Amino acid sequence: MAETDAKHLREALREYEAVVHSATSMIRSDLERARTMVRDATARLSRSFDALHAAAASQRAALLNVSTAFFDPEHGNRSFASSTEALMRQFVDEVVRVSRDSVRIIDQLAELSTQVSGIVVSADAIDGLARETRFIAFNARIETHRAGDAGRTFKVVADEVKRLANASATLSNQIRQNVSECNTHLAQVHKTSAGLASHDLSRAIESHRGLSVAIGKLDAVNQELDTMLETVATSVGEAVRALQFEDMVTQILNASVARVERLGEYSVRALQILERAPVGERAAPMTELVQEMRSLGERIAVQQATVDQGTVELF
Amino acid sequence: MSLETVKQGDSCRVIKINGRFDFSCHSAFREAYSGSPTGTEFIVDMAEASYMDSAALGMLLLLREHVQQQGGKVTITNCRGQTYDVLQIANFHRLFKIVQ
Repeated sequence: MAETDAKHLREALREYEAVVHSATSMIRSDLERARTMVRDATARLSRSFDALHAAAASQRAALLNVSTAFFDPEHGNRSFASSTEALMRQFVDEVVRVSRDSVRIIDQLAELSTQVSGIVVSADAIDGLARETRFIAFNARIETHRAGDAGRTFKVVADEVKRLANASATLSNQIRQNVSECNTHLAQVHKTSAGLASHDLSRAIESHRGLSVAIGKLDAVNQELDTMLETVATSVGEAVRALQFEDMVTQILNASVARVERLGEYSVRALQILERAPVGERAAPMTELVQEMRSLGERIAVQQATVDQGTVELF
Repeated sequence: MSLETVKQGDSCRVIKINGRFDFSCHSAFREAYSGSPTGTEFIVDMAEASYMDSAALGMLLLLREHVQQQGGKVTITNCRGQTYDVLQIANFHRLFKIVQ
């Protein structure tokens, strides 16, 4: 009866040992799979963050290029903003210069007009002289009539004087007509110059204001993007640092594997005590074994990786 | 437009611009400074001016040339709104003493 019981116990204990062995290798294999999965996922995440980091860096570089073209003072007149500004200044300077010169021309036209008026006065004087000359010729003709034959020669002279007086009158008329035409042309030049002098600068002011607003807005966008990209960089850095959990998970999993293996060993030893120690002498080695097993219940200490290992050089 | 010249003592003339300061002021403006004694100080008062164009700027430059030849100085006062913007865009601050 006792022998049969002992035999059954041995069989049960062997089966127990086989089950414990099978369970520990299953647990070991599961933990190994978990470790591989964590390692793979971490590697993929790491690559994604690296790619994100690189994309953010190249985006920032591209934006820097654009903003350099707009604002970089080192590029001086070649930068878009400053060359547009310079062009506008040049345009306004040119308009003002043309206006000043046109007003100056109009001032000189006034002088010229005064001189031309003087010519008309002279023409009037010539007219006066012609009238007097004609009067003298008339009187001379009367005298030649009185003188009869003796005055015939003098009559020719009197006629010639009259002809010269008429010619003077024609000449002064011609002068007056020329002056009149000249005045017409002067008035035309005056009108043209006044038109050249007068330009409304409101549009230039509006354009200048628009340019200033555009530059201000671009500057604001630039600063905003700078801040945003810095935030992206910081976040990527944080994420990469957070990936250090792989190391900690690996440590925990390794410790779990060790714990399971030790549990298996303790089971084998317990079975050996039950199988080999004589009845009545099992308690002492079993108590000793349980004492030893208590360490299995202790928490596993995990070493956190140093910050330096996780630091990513951003930009 | 209208333009008024006020003599302040022997050596100062105030040219007051009313309304639009443009080519229509030309003769009156020229008269305001021509024949002025050497060393005359000019004050162009823009308090009542509502608008100015490039012709006005040209006239101011000719006044400046006159003053440079004769000695004396030009001050532009009471500029605001459009007239101030025009003087600003033409960089007249480099050439004139401008008081807002």
